[in-house]
Amino acid sequence: MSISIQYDHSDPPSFPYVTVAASNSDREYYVPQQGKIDTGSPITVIPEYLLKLLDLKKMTTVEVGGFGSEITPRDAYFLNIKIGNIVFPYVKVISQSDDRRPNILIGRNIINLWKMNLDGENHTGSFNEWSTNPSNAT
Amino acid sequence: MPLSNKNRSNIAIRKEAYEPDESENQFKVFEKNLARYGRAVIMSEEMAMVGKNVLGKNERYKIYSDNVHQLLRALPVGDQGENKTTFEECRRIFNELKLSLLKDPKYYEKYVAIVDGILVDSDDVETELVRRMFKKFGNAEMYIGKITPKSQKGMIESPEQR
Repeated sequence: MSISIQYDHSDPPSFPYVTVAASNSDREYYVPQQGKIDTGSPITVIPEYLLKLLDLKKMTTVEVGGFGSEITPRDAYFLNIKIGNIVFPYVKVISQSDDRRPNILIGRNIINLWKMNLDGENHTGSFNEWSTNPSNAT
Repeated sequence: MPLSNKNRSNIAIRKEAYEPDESENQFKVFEKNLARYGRAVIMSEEMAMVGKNVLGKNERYKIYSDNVHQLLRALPVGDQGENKTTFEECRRIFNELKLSLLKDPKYYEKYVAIVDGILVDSDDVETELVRRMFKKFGNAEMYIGKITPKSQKGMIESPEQR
């Protein structure tokens, strides 16, 4: 089984994404989303509306800094991310306002579970090996 | 809610004077939590301190058992609906406990879970602990943090163009 990575051309230069679905780790109700692949982010980021929709509870805190911004403590959550039929359980995420984050930013805490190929020139990619143990994303 | 006979069998409840001998800071934290929440605080695998609301008496006890975690889950903990501890309160309790737990090799560099004001579990691997917490407590209010002197920083380095 191979998971296809596509490119979104709406915000040039185009970016790679996978179609994902997010769920509360305590339930089986998945919400589909575009998952923007971002190796520059150590953690996965979700739009704020998903917090209420999935009834996610704050569970921990992480200190996060951004491009030119100070490091600040942010509430973090754990949820399940499904790609195709693969479920990545208990993924740590933070949230960002809906206007700044229209999709899910897939960070290195998921990406580092994949053996991924990206062909930027031809706008294609895939991953066909993965681990679903989040602690392997070192 | 009375304790079942099964749970009574391995319990020793002793009313003891407050003796800040083992770790003064740790006791101060527990004192404060007990005064505020009237709840039990696990101090080791074998011993917990229990506040007034827990046993329906206006006194403080130390409880000894061969499995304190199991025992505390069986104890009547007052009106749980009213007293549910929020994420923010669990985080505050974590930050208070952290200072003393940093000196404890049992918890140093481990992740711990605070549920309803009580340190209920710990693990080297965060996601293993999270998995157990979801299994035991479902989508409950809790706080999971690492007992480490290092800060848990992450930089989102990707600028986004608008």
